[in-house]
Amino acid sequence: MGQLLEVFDLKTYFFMDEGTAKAVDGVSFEVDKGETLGLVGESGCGKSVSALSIMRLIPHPPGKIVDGRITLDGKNLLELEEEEMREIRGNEISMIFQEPMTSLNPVFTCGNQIEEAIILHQKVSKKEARERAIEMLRLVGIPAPEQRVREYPHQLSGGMRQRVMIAMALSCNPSLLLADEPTTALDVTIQAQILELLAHLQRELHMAVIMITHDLGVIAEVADRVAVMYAGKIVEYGEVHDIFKKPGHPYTQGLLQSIPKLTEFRDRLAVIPGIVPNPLAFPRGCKFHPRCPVAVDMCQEAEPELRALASGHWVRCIRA
Amino acid sequence: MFVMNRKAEESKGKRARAVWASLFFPGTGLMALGERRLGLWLLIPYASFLVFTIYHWSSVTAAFTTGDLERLVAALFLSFVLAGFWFYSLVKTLRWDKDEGTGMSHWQITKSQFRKNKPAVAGMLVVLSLYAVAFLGPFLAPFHPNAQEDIVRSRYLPPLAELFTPVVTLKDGRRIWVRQVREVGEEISYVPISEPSSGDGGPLVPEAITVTRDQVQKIAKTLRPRWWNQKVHWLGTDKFGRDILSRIIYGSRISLSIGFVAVGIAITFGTFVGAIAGYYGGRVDDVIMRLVDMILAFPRLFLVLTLIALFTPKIWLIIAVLGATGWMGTARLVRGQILSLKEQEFVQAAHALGLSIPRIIFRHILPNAMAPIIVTATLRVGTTILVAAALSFLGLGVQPPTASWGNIINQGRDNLLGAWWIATFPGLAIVLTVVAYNLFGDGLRDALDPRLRD
Repeated sequence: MGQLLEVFDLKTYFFMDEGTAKAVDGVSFEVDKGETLGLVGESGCGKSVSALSIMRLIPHPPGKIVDGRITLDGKNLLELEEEEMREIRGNEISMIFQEPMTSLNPVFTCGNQIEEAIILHQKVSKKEARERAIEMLRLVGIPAPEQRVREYPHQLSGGMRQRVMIAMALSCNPSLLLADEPTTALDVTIQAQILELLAHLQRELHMAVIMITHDLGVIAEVADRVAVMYAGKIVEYGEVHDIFKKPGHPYTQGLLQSIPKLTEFRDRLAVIPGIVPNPLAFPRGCKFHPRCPVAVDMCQEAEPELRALASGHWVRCIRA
Repeated sequence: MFVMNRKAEESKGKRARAVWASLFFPGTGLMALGERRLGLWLLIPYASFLVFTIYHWSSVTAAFTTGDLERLVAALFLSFVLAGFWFYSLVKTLRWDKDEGTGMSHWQITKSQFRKNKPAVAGMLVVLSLYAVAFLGPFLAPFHPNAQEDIVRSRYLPPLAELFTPVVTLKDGRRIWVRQVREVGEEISYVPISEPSSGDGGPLVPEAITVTRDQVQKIAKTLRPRWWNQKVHWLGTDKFGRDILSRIIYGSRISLSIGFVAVGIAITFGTFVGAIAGYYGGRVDDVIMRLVDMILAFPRLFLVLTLIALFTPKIWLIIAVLGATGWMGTARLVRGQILSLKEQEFVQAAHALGLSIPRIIFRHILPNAMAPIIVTATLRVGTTILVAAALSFLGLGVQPPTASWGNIINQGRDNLLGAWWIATFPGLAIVLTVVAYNLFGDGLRDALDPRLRD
């Protein structure tokens, strides 16, 4: 399968009064057509900022993409005019958000919101757009879609709203879907349904997905490849079974250990000590070393580069 | 199955009958279908407007041909209102059993909330009736607002006063209320009382008409006019002998339209400016909001007086100036709303769908801020009417002899103790309007704000 998206050395900084926050600092990854990339990490590690950078939706002051290249099907998105970028948003790249409760506009019916994107990008009549909206709602598994298109978001449950969001994002057959924690706000049974739906639609529409989450369970279920992010950088990158079988970076190991297992008894869950460093004042050297159980003196001196542990499995750690 | 069919048939027949009923008398069809309340709300105003139309039938039909703009507008208003009620009731009856989706939309919730608030409903009804009175002025006013019947006898008449008026009955059947009759030999000359609203161009003091004695059937020297002849000064007269009630009715057109249009301008402009400032933020916001602060630093009446004093006071100028000095509050309000709304996820979702920025501001963010905007608009109409009245009172508003509530009060000021009725009744009209608008606005706020819902 061919390459769809390449992100190369992406740097997105936020320039604030207190200093410069390097939210994303030299991130590179690629996504093939039809593949799922999982982007994992704690809150504040730069997952969402990476996704918003791909959409070019970083709030301009204070944020700015200072360097890098984002190539979609051979086009560098960072060089496009704003109008050309609008053509791509919602059409070639779509995004779904974490909060289904607030990501639908409360004053419009579900149908209106889906139709808006369709009319904008596909230049069809209102009637055709309505038909397509109903079809999309049926596709995402909403019962009685002819009625639901006329309903307002507050009349739907959280899971239903997330389905509407997905219908909206997929209404123009995008080749890439950015899913920013799409299941975090939902309860576990609904989570499973939504993930299954996404996987099903991905196969059906042959689209690539970047799944942003802090839930390794979700990653294990849906991702083909995984990028683990920490403090604005990718610390480990590889096939999903490599990462889960032989995690190279101490951070990944810590994340995996903190998942409770069915087969063992524990009083307390394993945790990674400390907190995510403040983006305004990252530690010198490897950014993980203050929390790292295997850190040595050398870790404080220079930030390690990504190096191949095995073919297609990269780690940013000198101890791995 | 059979039973179901029969039921369906029955309801079909019922609806057909209801549609016929609605066709002939709006509201009745809905009442027959069990929507008694809605039916009554349609039937009662329709019936009152219909009675009004029939009572004034000759003047209404004449209005379409005489070319008098005021009367034409009034007659058109009547026709539109009647047609509107008829059409609405018919549509409602036809769509009676149509399923409008499950649950209630925002609008429906708001409506049902608003209905529970009785003072607010009363306020709305008063506001609507005030506008109806303003539109129907030429048919309602018993006198022309500028007509001076017989200045010597009709000035400073207290409320409910009637002027005993001679009537000349001609042989061709016309009966003419006259000011005075003079009989010289075979000739009889009389000065007719100017008819109500004979148009702006008509003479205020009509010329005497001379006829020969054989044209006259009867002269009743002092006839006490009956009330349905509408020659009673219900609210008295002013120092020029002009009827206060008629002047208030005509003045309402000025005062109400100034309030409505000026607020419309102010709200539109304020919303636009506030939306731009709130959305773009940064330097744009700084410049706009400092400008707003600067204008707000002046007392409004002072600003308005200065602006109007620079030009000759004309009604459009007053509207423009009141609009131009009333937008700052709305701009602030809208800016605040937009600041919080633009961080909402649905705005980001709209960006992610590739919508343009103006579309996001005006179609996605602003409708969410509509509730407070509507509320301030209604509350502001009251204060704007007050400012307009204050302007007229200070002599910089609408210029005499055109009546406005403010300048009637101003004229009453000269003789407040001797003729209290001149300033009192327009004052009451202002109070009524402002209170009604405030009740209406409060009710709207309660109905539109989800936090205040019970």
